[in-house]
Amino acid sequence: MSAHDGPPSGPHAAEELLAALAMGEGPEEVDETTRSHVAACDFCTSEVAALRETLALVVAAGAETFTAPPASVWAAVSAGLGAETSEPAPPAPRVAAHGPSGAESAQLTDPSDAVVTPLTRRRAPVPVWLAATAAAVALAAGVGIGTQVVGDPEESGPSVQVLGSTELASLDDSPQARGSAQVQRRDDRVVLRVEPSDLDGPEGTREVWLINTDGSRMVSLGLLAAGDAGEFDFPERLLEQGYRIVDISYEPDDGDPTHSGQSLARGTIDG
Amino acid sequence: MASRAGGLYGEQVSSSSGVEADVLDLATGLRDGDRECLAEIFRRWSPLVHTIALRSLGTHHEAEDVTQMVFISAWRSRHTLTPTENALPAWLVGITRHRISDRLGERSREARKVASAVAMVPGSRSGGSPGGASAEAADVDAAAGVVDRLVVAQQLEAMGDPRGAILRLAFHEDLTHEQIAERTGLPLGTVKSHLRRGLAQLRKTLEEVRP
Repeated sequence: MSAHDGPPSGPHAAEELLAALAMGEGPEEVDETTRSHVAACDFCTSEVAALRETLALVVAAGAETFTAPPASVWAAVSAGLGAETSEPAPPAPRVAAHGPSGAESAQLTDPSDAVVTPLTRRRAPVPVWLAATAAAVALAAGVGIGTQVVGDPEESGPSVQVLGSTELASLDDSPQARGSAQVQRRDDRVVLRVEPSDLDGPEGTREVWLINTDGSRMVSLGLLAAGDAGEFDFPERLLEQGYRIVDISYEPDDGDPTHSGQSLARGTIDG
Repeated sequence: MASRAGGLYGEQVSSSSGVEADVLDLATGLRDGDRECLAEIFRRWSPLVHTIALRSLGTHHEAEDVTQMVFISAWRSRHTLTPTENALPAWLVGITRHRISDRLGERSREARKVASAVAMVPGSRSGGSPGGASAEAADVDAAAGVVDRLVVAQQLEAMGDPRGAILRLAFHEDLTHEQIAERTGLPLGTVKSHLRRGLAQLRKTLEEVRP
């Protein structure tokens, strides 16, 4: 699309005629003089090419549908601007509908994406991948810090079913045993019970993570009191989705909510 | 659309579709700090911004976050907008591209971080290729064509009638010019003129939107 070629001899064809050519109209619409100018003129030729490309996009655009953001987005924009100016009435986001299928334009492309979580329920500074699934969002919002439980979970209820477990080990060349982790179903909840031992590492915060076996997703379950066992709500679907690698990291107090890269122990849940 | 009776429209073919002046007012209002204009701009263009983000990023909550950031950025950087007839959508799409590309960059950094963390696991089956940077680059490429198509679709939708309706009848419902003339009650020459000017108009918008 080079519209910058130098001026050719003679006047350029009118825009409307170029558009007519792009639409493939015949000699009764665009006369021979115009056609021969366009054929000899780089500028007009590239204009026609650009208009043809636009035409192809116009045709393709007929199949496009738009998904309007939920009302919570405008609310968040408004809140984000806060005191910067006065508050206007919130607009109803309009779903841009067009073409014969316009009525369906708000439909979601993937039913599994259908969960729309209001912005206000999210923890603000989450890393992107941490919130990579709706499940992860729910997790991040629901269990910022895991429930710390002291005592034997076997005593806490009659029904404890072990869904999977792993030994934890350090990640160096000669792995040291670092405790264990177990996924337990207790009545209507599923928890990850982490019982670390000899974590070593620098003084500071220990955070428990679940890494997906696909190697590209992870979620934070929460903070672990140093050296103590911890329990974290564990939506069972995470296990089904492949979040099976339990990781305990050392997190410096740097305000960065992402994994520090310093893993003290790790293990993959079997079962 | 297809059932419109003839004779609804006047016969004059103005050089603009009638929405442009409106868009120019909105752009000017935004630049001058009118919050109502931001609200109206959000109402009109948030489906476009959100849909571009959704196609590029794939998840609703990220698309919503990006949409939110785009309009907050639009407000905060409103002084950088030079109001012209076509500037506003291009400017918004430009901000959207930036926000999406920030997001994709963040994502591949995180993917690499996770990948290197996972790679430390002895015998982990996932130490190999987590599809980080190269997959993201492909996302960006794919997004470029999508943006063009969505911009055109949005512009077409926003285009005032009868021009918008004529373009849709011709290019989406494959009616001949004669059928359109009959359907709309407009002279054949008027229909043709609307098609040509409409196409040229869309092309101009597209040029502005391209990075």
